[in-house]
Amino acid sequence: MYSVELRTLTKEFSRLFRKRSIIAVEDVSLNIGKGEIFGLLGPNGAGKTTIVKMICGLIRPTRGEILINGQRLDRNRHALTRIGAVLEGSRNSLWPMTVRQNLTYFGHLKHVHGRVLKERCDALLSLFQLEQKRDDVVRNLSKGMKQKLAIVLAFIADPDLILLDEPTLGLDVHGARLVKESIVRLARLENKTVLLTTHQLDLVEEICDRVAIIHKGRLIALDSTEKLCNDFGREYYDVKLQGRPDTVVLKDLPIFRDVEVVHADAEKEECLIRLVMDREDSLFEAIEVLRRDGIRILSMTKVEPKLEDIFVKMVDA
Amino acid sequence: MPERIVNVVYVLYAEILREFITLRRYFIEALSGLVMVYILFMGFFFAGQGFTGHVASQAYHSADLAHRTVGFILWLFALNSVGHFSNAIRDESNIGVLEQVALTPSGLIVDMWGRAVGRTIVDCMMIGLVLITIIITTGISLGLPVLPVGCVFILTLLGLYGLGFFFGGLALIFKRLGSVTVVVRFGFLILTGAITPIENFPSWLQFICKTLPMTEGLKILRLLMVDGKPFSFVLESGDFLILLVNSTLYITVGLISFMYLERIAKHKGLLGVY
Repeated sequence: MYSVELRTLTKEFSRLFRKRSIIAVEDVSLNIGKGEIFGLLGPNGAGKTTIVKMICGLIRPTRGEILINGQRLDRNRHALTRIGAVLEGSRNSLWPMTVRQNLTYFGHLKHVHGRVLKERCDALLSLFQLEQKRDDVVRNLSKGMKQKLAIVLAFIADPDLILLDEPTLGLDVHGARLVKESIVRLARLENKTVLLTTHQLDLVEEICDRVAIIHKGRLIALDSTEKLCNDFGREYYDVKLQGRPDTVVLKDLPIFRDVEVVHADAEKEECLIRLVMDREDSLFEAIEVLRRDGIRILSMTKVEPKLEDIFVKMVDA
Repeated sequence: MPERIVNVVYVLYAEILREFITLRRYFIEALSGLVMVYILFMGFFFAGQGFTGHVASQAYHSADLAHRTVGFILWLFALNSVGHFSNAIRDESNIGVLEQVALTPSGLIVDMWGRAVGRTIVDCMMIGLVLITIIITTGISLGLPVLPVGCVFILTLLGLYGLGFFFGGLALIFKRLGSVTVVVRFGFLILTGAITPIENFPSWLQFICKTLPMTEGLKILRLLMVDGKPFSFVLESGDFLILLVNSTLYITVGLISFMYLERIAKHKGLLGVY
């Protein structure tokens, strides 16, 4: 059984006095397995947040079906105890109350009480390094601390499924790393399913098992991060050569899919070219061609394909 | 106790606690609000004496003031109960908490009940303080047969919260209802007979006034607390039945409209809009 199943999910927003409605999400079908960290990517307005809000029941789909642990949310409201969500970053908490009061308040609303609630609070505050701030009023916390508290609140009822919308946005490097590590640890150790929407592609690349790319409401790619990079990413080399680009004859390099002069330094008589590879052995052919033409290779760096490149390429396409 | 009931009790507890924490955090604001309310009442008190300085007989004046006091105090409860949900929904949309509350297994409607209970408890303390101050400074005396007054008070509040649920539902869609609820709430001061008898109004307006959720409750409270009538009198006259029907209608319509408007808000994706 999957943790989340979306079946031909569609959301149209009708507009007052207008005949045409806006299609925010169209026929999206995907499954997210238990314990999986799943990334949902897409440009602004792609429909990511609408999908997340439909999964947690805050927006009703126009068509299609959502199953959480095999159960339809609209028929079993108790399934909500199994979902935690951070929907708008550092918001989501009550700023006039202290950290501990917020945890107690949301714990009770999510049906966690007594000793269980206390133990859960202590564990989460310790995990997210917020013990020292437990009696601080939320208003006085930094943005990063508020962000961490919002994530802690999402975990308070020990949910199976966590929906995180931009969880590390606005955090400093240390804070972002801590949040990232905590998400991974909770997902791996406690077998939590995490659905992450973000613009930080390096975060997705680093922690997500699979990625879905949404564009204009439609699912345009769905696979493991690694496979997407392999299938769609362009493997290339940055090669620093002796000589100016006009003197360095690149016409002899048609074996490459693309040859691009990235940087040229006229004073030093150096240039940096980017060779996009079609095949692994193209590199040896390139070295051979350059050697034959008497061009000196100063350095050569292999650049791994990045999710960002794939994302841009797919959305542009 | 069944788990479901335990969970609802904890939701109520959480909301009551939250009301007290907010009260403590903004104590100065709450206190200054009380002072303002007291000054407002004293304005009504002196207004009752007229510009000419003519004062009716002491007995008449004392009874009149007692009527006004009961009307004013009940109106203070109406002021909070009618607009409490819509204000909370507007504010919590702004701070991103509304969606988190809507995400809880009990849902918005149970949570709103919790807020109603919490608000009422805090109001009883704060408005009670105003009432005690009024009694001390004006020397009026009010009867307090606890059980009948409690029943009538709770029934009246139920009707008022019915209207509150309706406005809360509208706030889920339109977010800012400020002026509408202010007009309604201050309209109550006049139209429910809180400071002036509705018998002076034209008959068509009297009819409208009698359908409002506070009017009948206020009438009965005055009978019990000022005129010293026994509860049996209220039962036999049919006033209590009218209140029961009126409040039941208001709370039923209020809850149904809230649920319907919440459904529309979810359909249109408006819960998180601010």
